[in-house]
Amino acid sequence: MTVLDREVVSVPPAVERELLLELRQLVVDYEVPGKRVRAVDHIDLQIHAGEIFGLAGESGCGKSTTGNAILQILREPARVSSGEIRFRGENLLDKSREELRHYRWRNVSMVFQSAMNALNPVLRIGDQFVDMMRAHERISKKRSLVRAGSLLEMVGIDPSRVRSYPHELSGGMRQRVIIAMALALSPELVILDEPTTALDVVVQREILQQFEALKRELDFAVLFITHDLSLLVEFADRIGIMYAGEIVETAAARDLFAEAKHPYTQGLLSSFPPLTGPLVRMTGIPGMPPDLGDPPSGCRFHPRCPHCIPSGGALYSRQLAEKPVLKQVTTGHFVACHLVEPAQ
Amino acid sequence: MSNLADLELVAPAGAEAEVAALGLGGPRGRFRLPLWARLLLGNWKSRLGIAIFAAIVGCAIFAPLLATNSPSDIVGLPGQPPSREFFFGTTDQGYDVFSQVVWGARQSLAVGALAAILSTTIAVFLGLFAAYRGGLVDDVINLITNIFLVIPTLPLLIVIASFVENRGPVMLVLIIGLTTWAVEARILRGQALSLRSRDFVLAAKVAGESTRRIVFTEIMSNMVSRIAAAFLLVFYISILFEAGLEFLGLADINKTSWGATMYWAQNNSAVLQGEWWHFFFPGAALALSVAALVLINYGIDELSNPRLRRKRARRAGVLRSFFWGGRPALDPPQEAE
Amino acid sequence: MNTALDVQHLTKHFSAGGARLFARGAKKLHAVDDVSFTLRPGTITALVGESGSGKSTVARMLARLYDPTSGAVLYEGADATKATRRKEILRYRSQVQMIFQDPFGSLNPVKTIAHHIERPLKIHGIVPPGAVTDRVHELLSTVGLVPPDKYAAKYPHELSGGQRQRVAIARALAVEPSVILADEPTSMLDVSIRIGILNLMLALKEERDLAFLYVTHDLASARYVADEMLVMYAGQIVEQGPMEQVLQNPLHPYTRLLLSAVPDPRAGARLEVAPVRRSQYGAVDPVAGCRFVERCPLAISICSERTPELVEARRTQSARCHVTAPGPDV
Repeated sequence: MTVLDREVVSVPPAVERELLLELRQLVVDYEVPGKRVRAVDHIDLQIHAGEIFGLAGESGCGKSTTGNAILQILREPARVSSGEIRFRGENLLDKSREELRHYRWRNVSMVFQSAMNALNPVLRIGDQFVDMMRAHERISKKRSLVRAGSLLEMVGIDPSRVRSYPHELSGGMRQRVIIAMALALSPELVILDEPTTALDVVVQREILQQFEALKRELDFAVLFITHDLSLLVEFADRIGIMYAGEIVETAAARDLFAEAKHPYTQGLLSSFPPLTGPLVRMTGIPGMPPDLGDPPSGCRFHPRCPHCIPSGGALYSRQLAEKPVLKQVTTGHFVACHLVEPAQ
Repeated sequence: MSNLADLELVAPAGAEAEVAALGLGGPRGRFRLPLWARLLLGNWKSRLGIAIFAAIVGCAIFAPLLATNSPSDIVGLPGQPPSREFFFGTTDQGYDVFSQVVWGARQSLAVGALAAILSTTIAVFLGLFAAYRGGLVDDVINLITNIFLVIPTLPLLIVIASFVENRGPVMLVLIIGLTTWAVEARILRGQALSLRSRDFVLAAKVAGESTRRIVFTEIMSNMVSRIAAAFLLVFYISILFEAGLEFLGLADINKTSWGATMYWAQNNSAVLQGEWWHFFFPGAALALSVAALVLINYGIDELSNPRLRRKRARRAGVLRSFFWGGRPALDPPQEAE
Repeated sequence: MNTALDVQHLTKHFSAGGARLFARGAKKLHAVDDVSFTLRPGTITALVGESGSGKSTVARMLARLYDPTSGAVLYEGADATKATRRKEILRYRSQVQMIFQDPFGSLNPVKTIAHHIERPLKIHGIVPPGAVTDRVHELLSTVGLVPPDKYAAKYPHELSGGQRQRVAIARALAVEPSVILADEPTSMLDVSIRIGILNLMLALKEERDLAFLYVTHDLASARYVADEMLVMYAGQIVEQGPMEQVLQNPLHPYTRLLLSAVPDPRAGARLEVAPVRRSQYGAVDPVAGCRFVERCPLAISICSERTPELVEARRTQSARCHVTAPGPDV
């Protein structure tokens, strides 16, 4: 069997269920003396129950900040300046600390990029589960350990490993441990923040396949934050592309891959050299991401956009002056770009 | 472009690259103090410490202007409490306590400083050498360091001082400097060890850089704040040990210093006689000096470990990697060019 | 065909865990076992494998950062790993340079960019002292950092990741080497920037006839730049050959596993990747037999008994597998 034997198989879109998470015009700022930096600039996002939503972008685009905002774990000097984060219709920004504590991990949980950031190196795995469970419910230590064991088994780790320390496990196993922790209280939405970036490609696939199986069994929604767009095209149902704090394109995964409309998305997609097919010189995207303390005027991508040329006349003036708004171009496909006309 | 060091101001690991891209930087004024000065002054602890210490050093330098009486002349009636004529009172012999404290600052601070320089120099050399060479060299230096760590310093100093014939300030500098290096040698070795395996050190090696240059240029340049902190620590320890030896009469008690003044106070049973001013003022001077140095050290700690800064960060402005050397392990994929 | 660097039977064992003085029968981690290959001028050779496969260790041995347990690295006929005199070592270092994975970590945070590029120039006396600054600017321009004088005065934290990697490349080029060892130079960079660095490597290979060793776990980028492919697993080379040939017709089951695991949006059904409870250390005190046997779908009885040799099963393509590349006596 060779790489070329694969065929393209189309996957029917997921049936849209109830709205679980909604971000409305969310704004997150970092306040430093003398400067206010807008990391997330008026974004709208919707995640439905059972859906895998991929949020893609490069470093500095605001995707991780968005994930932290949803879980309400932003730390000074970051704060939500305006907008709403609605979980099942209720605005999280109106909630008290106690209510948020209840919400975190039960309704929404998170899998972090580096397990070693999430795991305490001096505690055994089992004890960390116990700590976490007992913070949320009244449960005896013995029972939590038993539950920890079954959670480990669920992610494919021998339950006797509750007695191990984090450093005794391989990178892949550690990542599975924090997945198990994120699923411990059966949340409805799991946020994955670059969960496999530090792992090699085979382990990455193992873990994501296992995660997919768990999702089918336990039925939760996923917000998958990563810079690896090729991964999202495979695993996500819908994808949102973030650039400089804004969402510039949203579509079903297959549609995005087949017909990306935003020049940044197109540039991103062409940054992955092909493993099969003809080998061509690629260009990536010239320039660098903007300084969010002083972003470009108008369309933030315009300094790097191949379609923004001084001889463009009226279009060029628009690109420099006016910020494009997300508009629907085909069913479920939204783009924020002056070049694109909305569907009538 | 952005400043990765600023990452430490905020947010869980996942957002760090985003903060880096935010291009956080301090305000640009017309006259800019060097970064470390701005940061030290921005922190209230070190500001206070610097102010107090500067005042004390000022007293020492301007002693002839401040204290017109010579500390070793009998200028007044014996045993007088503080008055307008003699701010700190007089001793049982009639010496001016104020003069003794002001002039005594010179020896107390100078011996402390020189001993600290000696001690820190030894600690830096041994610590860095042990860390970079590793192996047998490291084991041997560790053994010696451990010996010095285990032996209690003050008793050791007392024993040495008792045997030594020449008890002048130079001898004090030597014996204090040669016994207090171990703590910092251990700490500096630790930091050098963590720097040794950093890629830029390996890159220097691959470029053909000699060991000497790698240790003293590449590695040490990233340890400046830690070495400064080490120096301040040993400085105040030296001041205290010096005063201790003088108080016990193991130094040359005819030289004016805070410890010597306290020695005479003890000798003349100042406590029994209720002559509190004889020991209180030199003691206060000692305490203030040490407190000032400790405060400055707190400030430096917050510089080198940004996680301690929290809310103070807002006022202190932004830290460049000069004091901190970057944290490679935390960086997720970097931004564009 | 001329050779830039000839690696022969390179091996590196580390003592795993603990006691230095009193270890008897301490465990040995076989990080690299019997690795042989050749780097040729004007060629990029990809060394591909997962973390723990030993690929970085190989690169570091070539850079003389580790001493091999056995084996040789021949440069101009002499074994570079045995050089003891400073003059010999410096000569080697002027010909073989390295680029590291972490763009931030490989630059000294408290020194300017100019410092980083000047040092190799001065150490090896590449140009007379008066010409150093000009050469620094020239090198910065070569890697695309213009205007060079502006960049030379900056500090590492003022540059982006991609820019820092370009500085690292400029530093490596300063000594005018014939071999560059690139240890995962793009894995910590943003996706859209990686192509720029890879294109730079390709340009340098063409213009200066350099030999590159490109260590990576990313097969797609390996295909993009490299002419030859070496696949490593648990310290051994398990497959080698021309890039396209290996990708089209992989012999070793691990190579096939790697190929199937790479995210490919065009793919439909995939091979199920069976999770394996592996211990985290690669090959600690390995026993005879193929090291891939636990994960191999093709394993037969001999695979657990005898370690396979690297056999040239097709012209210029070799693999270490009893099943797909059987030796003559099997």
